Amino acid sequence: MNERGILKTGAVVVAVALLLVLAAETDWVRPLCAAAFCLLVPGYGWARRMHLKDKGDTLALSAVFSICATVAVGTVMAVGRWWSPWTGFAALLLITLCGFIPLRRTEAGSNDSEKGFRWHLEFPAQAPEPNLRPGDETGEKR
Amino acid sequence: MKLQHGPAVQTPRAPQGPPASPAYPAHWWDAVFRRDTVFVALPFVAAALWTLGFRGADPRNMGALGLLDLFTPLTVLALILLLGGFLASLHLHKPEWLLATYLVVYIALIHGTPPVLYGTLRYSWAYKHVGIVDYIMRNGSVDPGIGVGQIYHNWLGFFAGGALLTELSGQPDALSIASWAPVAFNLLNLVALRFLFRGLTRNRTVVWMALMFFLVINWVGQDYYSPQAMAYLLYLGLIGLMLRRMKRRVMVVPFAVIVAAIAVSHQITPMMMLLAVIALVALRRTPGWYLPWLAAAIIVAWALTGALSYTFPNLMDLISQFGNVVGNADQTLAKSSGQTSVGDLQVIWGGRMTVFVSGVVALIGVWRQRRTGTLILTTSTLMVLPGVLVLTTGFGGEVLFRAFLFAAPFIAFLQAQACIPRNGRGFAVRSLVAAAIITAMVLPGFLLGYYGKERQNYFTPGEVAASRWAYTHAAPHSLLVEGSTNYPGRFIDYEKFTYVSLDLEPGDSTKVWLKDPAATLAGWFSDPKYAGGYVIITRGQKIAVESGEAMPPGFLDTIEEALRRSKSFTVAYQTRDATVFAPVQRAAGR
Repeated sequence: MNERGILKTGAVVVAVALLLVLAAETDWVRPLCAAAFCLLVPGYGWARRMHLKDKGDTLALSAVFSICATVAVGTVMAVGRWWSPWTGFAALLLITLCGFIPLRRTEAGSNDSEKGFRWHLEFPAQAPEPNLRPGDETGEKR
Repeated sequence: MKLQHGPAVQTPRAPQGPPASPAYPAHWWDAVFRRDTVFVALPFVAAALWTLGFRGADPRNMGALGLLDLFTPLTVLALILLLGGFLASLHLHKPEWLLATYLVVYIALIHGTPPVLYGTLRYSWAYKHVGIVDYIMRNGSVDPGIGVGQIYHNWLGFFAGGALLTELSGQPDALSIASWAPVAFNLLNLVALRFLFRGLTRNRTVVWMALMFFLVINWVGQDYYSPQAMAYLLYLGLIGLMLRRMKRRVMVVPFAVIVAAIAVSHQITPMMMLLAVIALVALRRTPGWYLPWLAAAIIVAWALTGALSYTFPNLMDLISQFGNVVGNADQTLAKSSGQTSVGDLQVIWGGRMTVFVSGVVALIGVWRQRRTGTLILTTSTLMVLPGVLVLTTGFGGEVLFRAFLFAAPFIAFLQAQACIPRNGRGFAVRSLVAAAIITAMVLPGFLLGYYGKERQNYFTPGEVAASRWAYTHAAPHSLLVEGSTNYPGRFIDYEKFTYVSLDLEPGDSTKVWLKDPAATLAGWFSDPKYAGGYVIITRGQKIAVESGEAMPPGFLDTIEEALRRSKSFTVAYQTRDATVFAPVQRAAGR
């Protein structure tokens, strides 16, 4: 990890820690954090795998997948009659982490300086964005 | 050369921003107004004006036009500034984040005003949904064979997810989360719709104008804390996903996941979803002949497993409504036929006017952009398709509303297509004026349709407190007699009680027992199968009963007065807006 990556990770860790402290101390922060988590986080990694290029599109799919995950976890627990909020939270965290874990290995490309295999971080989806000329804002799909 | 000088084709405009400003502007205001800062400030100025406009407003003063009665010139000015600023920003090709700011502020104002102004959860059905979440939080499971609210226990996805969210948020109930659900759902719809529209076109003007039109025509109000609001969001995401080009095997997993989440959460959305999936595959917009089969298999699998307790006993009802187009549509129209006051008629016809104008403009959009091939075919099909819902079900008298809800994104898209030039390029002054005129025509109807029923939908803190008192003091197996179902009810321990709603009693028998309501109600409470009970009469119930035709004028006032005079009842709890009566003979407390 380079310096920039370390800084980014550190910032995220500090932000999450602050939020956790705030959530424990302030009444209205915890519902906000819980809603943001359930509505956006579990699906984020999975949405990124779609390679939608546009951040808004990734956000949309993050929300859709996250809601699906929350519904799935809640439904399984309610139907299975083993309701446990913390188990549900753990399951959602697991889904979140799985979204960032590579699904398959591919051989490193010839230009790659590293030898052998590396984890393939990209979900093998065809880019849905058509290649448009810069400045062409019509781009109707026909 | 021909392309550059031809009259019909213009040079594509750079999307990065407006043309470069000259070094020395001709006028000082050129320099000021060309800066984004003015456009950034505008939505916040609008928000401030809106807030000032509602300063000191008391929701009790809402009249026949609901929240519109509390509108002031400042709130109207705020809306004009906000939507005018949005259209001007679109015309001046401002960046997307700025356009998004306008729409986010619009959502915050329109949908965030009720929770801030009321301080309580609005809409009686939202309380019932909170009650199902409460059930899951207490029991950790559902009861598919339960007597009251059985359908929710069979399509539990939303409630189970809601219960998990409520538990994680550390709240004792879902009331506060439910209060802000309309804001959250509309924000998420905005993002999902942008995703969907970008699957149809890459024209940012059309995409953002369609988003605005959607927000100013969708008056149906299915954005409250409900399974349909969540299923609708997932539906938009699914259609957006299917409109993207991607390998089939890549699409199958997310497709199945979204379909499954919809299938376990709602009953009518899977029908609409299946129709849309079939249409997109049939039109070859989405490859994969097996996708409709997969969707159908998931829907049927849930209906025959998780929802079996509801599906089998109610199968004949579903079949009997199938194909009864007139009957199904009439269920919706019958709901409004009893409204005779001027205010009610304004609300009803305001909503209908918005639907009519939007539909006409969408048809103009189809005509103007008819040469765009599959784009217009896809959007037109998805717009018309929800009409098929009327064939299948009445959905408790709401099918026409739901059909419009599902058609609304594509109506909005075609409205935007109607405004832009035929070559699809730019957003000239003429287009700007057209969009502004359409917005001005549909916005009043939207406000009437969305806010017009707020007098009924608003519950005072006193009503909520009285209802909470009754539900926390009634013993299990008590009888709860409600003046009508329009009150903040059934959100605590809802499954432990038997409910009788007075306004739903048969008309003929009502005339008889209304001669001595206290004696009749005392007779009901004397039944030994009830452990006790209460009669709950609230302000919201009275408003709902008075606005309908089913009961005579002053129906609940008559009953309340009779109970106050009766020696068989005593006032157990009272606030300014609600009274809870208890029978004297039976101790009802826990």
